[in-house]
Amino acid sequence: MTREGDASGAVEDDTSAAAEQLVGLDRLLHEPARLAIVSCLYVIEKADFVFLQNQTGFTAGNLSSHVSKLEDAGYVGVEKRFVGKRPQTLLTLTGAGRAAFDDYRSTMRSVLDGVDAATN
Amino acid sequence: MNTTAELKALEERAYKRTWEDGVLDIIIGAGLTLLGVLFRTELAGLAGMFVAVLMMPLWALGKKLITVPRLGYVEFGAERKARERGWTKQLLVLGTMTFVLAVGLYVAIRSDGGVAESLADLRIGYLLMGVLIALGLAVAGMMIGTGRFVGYAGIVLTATGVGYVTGVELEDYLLAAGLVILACGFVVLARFLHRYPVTREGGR
Repeated sequence: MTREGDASGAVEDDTSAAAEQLVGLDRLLHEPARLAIVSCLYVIEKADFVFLQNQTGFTAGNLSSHVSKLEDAGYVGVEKRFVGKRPQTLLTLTGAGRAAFDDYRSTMRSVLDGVDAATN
Repeated sequence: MNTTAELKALEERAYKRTWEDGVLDIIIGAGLTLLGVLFRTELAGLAGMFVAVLMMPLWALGKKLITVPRLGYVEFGAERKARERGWTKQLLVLGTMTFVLAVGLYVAIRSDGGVAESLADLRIGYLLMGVLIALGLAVAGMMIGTGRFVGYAGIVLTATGVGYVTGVELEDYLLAAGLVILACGFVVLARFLHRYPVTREGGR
């Protein structure tokens, strides 16, 4: 095989490895809105629904629906309480959520590195 | 959104946002203004009490009544809390030094020719007090990560410097700096109230 042939083979290997990794991505986290929510909770310890709404800019219904999905997956912990007469929903990223986000980040990083290696 | 630097920036933005309410600005501005007024009316002891005792509870009350219903409630991570503790220790040291100096100056002003024989000694005390207050504001600015408080430190330093050179009394330049900071605080608060209306939880 020529040197050019070696190079194109390496590119194919890189891109197919990247494609395989992409298939294995956590699809629950890969959705942009949920990724924004999890990113936000990843960098803080605890926040209520209103803070998260302000941080992400989502409507209450939209945020609620995504939080429910993350809660069902065990990624987000939800604690309801009353402050005076006002209800407050506190949200935290669980250990499983943190680990899933770490995995997601490392997979994406390796995919992007693979793509970079293939294109440069 | 996923690199470490971007996540750190996200956390910093969230943290800074909690200080965009102008509450601390107003309390500091009001504290300095009141300090100036009470020094002028010879009630400096009351002024010291206000600054030392009422500032923190008033700030906490302002956060509870103004900030949390609009911006929401947030607790930051251990790293941020540790950094805050470090800054707070520095602020406490500066605050104590300022308080001790203020008490010393008060005693010196009130004593009849005893402690403060020379007016020049008092002026150096005034200058030092302005520098300590400015340092405290600068440290607070670095803790919060906003240039606004560094600007306030500049205002206090300028007022102190001008006061020292022109021979203006301590209470006058405290009053001037306090009023400017108070006005800035109200502008910041108005912007915050406009940007974040009271939000009630919905959808859950």
